[in-house]
Amino acid sequence: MKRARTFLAAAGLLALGLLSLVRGQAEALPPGPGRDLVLGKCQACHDLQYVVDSKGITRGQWEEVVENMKVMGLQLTPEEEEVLLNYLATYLGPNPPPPQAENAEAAEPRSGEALYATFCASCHGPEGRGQANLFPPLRENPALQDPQYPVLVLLYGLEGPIAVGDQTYQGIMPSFGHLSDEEIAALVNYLRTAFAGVKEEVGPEAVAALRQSPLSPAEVLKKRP
Amino acid sequence: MDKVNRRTTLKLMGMGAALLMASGRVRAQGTPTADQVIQGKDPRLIVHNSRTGVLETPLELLREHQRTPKEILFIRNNQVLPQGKTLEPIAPDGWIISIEGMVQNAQAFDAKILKDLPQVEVEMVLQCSGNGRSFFARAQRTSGTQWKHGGMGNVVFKGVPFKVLVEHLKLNLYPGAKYVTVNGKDQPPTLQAPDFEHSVPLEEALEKGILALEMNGEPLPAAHGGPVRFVMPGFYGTMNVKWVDRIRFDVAETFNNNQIPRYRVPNHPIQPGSEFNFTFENSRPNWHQKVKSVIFAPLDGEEVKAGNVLVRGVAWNDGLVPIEAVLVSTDQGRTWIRAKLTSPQSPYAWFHWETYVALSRGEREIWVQAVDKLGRAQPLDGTVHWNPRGYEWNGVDIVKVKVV
Repeated sequence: MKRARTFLAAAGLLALGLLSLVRGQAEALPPGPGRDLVLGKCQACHDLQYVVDSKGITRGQWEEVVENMKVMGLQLTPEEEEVLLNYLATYLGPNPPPPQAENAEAAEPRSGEALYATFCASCHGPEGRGQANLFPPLRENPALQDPQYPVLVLLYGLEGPIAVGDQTYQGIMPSFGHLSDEEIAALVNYLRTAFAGVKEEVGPEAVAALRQSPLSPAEVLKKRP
Repeated sequence: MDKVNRRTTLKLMGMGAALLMASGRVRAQGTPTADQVIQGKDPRLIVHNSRTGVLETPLELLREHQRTPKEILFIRNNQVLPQGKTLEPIAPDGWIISIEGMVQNAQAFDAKILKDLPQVEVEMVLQCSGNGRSFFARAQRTSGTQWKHGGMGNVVFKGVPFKVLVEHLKLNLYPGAKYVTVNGKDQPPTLQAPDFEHSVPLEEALEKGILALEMNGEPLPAAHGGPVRFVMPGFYGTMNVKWVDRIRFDVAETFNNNQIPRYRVPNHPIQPGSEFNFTFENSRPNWHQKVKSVIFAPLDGEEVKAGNVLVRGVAWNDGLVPIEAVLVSTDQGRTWIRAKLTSPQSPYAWFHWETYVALSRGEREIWVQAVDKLGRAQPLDGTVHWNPRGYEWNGVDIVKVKVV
């Protein structure tokens, strides 16, 4: 009995070690106002490594990058563009401020609706209708009926062909595991109520439990109901 | 365990991370490994982007092969075919290619006919035009993937000469046609983004262009453009358009975002860090590969024993004329010796060079410069060619070694 407990404790600690690896490129982006815009807008077509790789360029160069991204389909209001450029030019510019401890605990957790607008709408659409052939709709998506699967997708991302209705999607969904348990729960609850009419709520403890066993995006696909 | 102390906790967490990394499943930053991005690739490749597939070959692997095997060959996809993230081939049967534009006989054909047409083989350097971009940071870092030297390889393509296809199909080009634009079956990631395509001069396409079906003696892997890739020996990688779908003959280059302003360099030097408004007149596309050499041994940062040290590597250019000399300096360019040069059969392939240099203890630098028969030489300071997107780096290659 004692040996089994020891083994479990050790395995748990190993898993904790893996957690730090799962956080990924989102952590390479320094905290600062506008960081969420990068996370929400810049993963539709490529992963964040492109953004991180350009760290150190001037504001003028970032402006050129953003102009080119608009040609590629990036949509920003003028206010968003200002915030985004300020973030990129400051925190990923030639003279970034010294890193500060991220106090995520102190920040007010955001509502599911606000999180959706920041992180999800750029791909899945403001109404959750997706984009044909590119990003699946969330509205009336049967996968939202399952209480665990949406949490897994947010924690670890998703990769591989999926069918939603009569359409197949071949994209890659990035992980949003950098969000807190509370925020992931709030977001999943928003998706389920707004788009799937499900009243049953998912709590932060459920999210924390699913964080204990990291999965690859391809493994998340296998869990799809 | 009665008590879990801090040291044990940390040790086990570290072991967990190490275990995962050793098994190759998750890289240090939580990004997928190269074999998870493109099925079949060596997991030791550096992952620059997992979405479409951008992988760089470490020099330790690249230098081991005369012909770069597909498992370690770099890859840079702007867009990707859904079934294209694998080294498995796609059969050309049923793969329709259409011909448009300034031809009297516009048509579509099944790529399977290419198997029965006359074929040629060409050994050539395939190099991303962003290869070496990270070195521009010596003056001013540019945006884009920060390649070192691993965005290149030496491969053999086999396929139908473009000229042969044009004649076989009896296209009857209109005399005014000056460019050929190739677009692949891959699609852009959003509806608003332009669909990747490139234009090359028609004259050169007819002279050396190939519709490649094979790479290194095997059917062309899907990830590298199979079943049909438009190959231009001596041109930068981006111009070798993958997954050929439409071939268009025209009077001008395409206006597509990928032809302008992307994948272009100014015609004249500009101040590092400055902005540049690209036009067709003041800039040129990443067509001909600039003369270049890369040191394969010793590697940057390596420790070597004092005395005679073997320095070796490769050199190449756009294939118009051979490399004439490769010069090596160990005193930061004050004095040079000429390395022994081995010429390949193909003008587009790697030349191999090697020489011994005497190094005494301390921190030393080894500089290498290639010169070709037209007198084109690598600049001592590659940032002289600084451009806003960091293309076409070809500065004299420099490695710093610690001599003990």
